[in-house]
Parts: sequence; C-alpha cells; structure tokens
Amino acid sequence: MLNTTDIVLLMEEASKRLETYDPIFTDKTETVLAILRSKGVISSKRLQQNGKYHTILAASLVLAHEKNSDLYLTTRSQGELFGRGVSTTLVKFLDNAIEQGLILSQAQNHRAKGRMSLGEIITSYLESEAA
Amino acid sequence: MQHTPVFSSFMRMKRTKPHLYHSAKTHQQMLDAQRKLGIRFYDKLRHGADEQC
Repeated sequence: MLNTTDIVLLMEEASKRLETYDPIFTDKTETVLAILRSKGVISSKRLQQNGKYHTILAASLVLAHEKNSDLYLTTRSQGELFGRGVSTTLVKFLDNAIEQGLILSQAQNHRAKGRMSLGEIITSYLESEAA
Repeated sequence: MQHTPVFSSFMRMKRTKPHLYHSAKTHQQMLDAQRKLGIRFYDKLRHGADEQC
C-alpha cells in the first residue's frame, strides 16, 4: 500500500529539489507541466507571474511519484493554507486536476481533500521516462 | 487534411525549438489538440490506460 505525504511538504521539498538542477528531475517536471497545460489545469496566461509556482506544483507530483506516495491535503481552508505559506490557488489547482482525471480523489464529492493519488496519464509518462 | 499534433510532437518541439514551445500560441495549440483527440493525444500511454480521462 502506498504511503501518503502532505502536499504542502511535497511542495517545500520540490522547491528545494528544483534548485539542485537535477536534469532528470527537471525533465520529468517539464513533462508533467506540459500534461497539466494540455488539460487546461494550469493556464499559460500570466506565465511570468505564475510560472515558478506552476513548476513547483508539477515538481510536487513528480516527487510523489518518486516517493511512491499518495498526496494528502489536510484542509481546504484558505486561511490555514495561507498560514502555512501556500498560495490559496492550490485547492483550485487540485480540484481542476481531479476534474481532468490527472489526480484521483478518494473524497466522496471527488474534490481535493484528504488522500489523493496520481492518475494514469501522469503515472504512465513518468514511468516511461524512468525506463 | 491537416494532421493534429500529439503530445510527443510538443515534447519534441520543446527540445528542438524551446522558444516556440514556450509561446502562448503553442500552449493553446496543445490544449486544442488535446480537446480534439482526447486520450489519444497522449500517444505514449500504456495500452489499457484509463479511457475515461
């Protein structure tokens, strides 16, 4: 059974990992970023302002795959997420990714809360890159 | 008849023409191609991947 990792902790670790300029990790992150863009989960508008944040989100998913881990969102409260230093758009991003089938939610309303796992498209591409 | 590009076409463009790949126009083309082809857009998907995505 997969373990779970708090998405906020994954984002913090992913941010640090990106600073190491590991070419394989960077390449995988760009692939996930392209998948997210192709599904309209993240917009290419305001790329200058949001580009780094989107890259961290994509890198978090790569990291979850590397760790063989599911994602965990403890709260949808914007105040609590803001208090942890996370953009309040995180919930919207996760909701969109779930709606597009890129992330699978175990919540009854299929929204971002609690345990979530990577969907088939992202998993397949990350596994094919690792091969 | 115009050929609709698939995901690997865009990934190739990222390597060969990164400036073009990172343009807003290309991102829109990627979105349009995905909407047109659905799951078939992701041409490297394993056989039996979730068709509902």
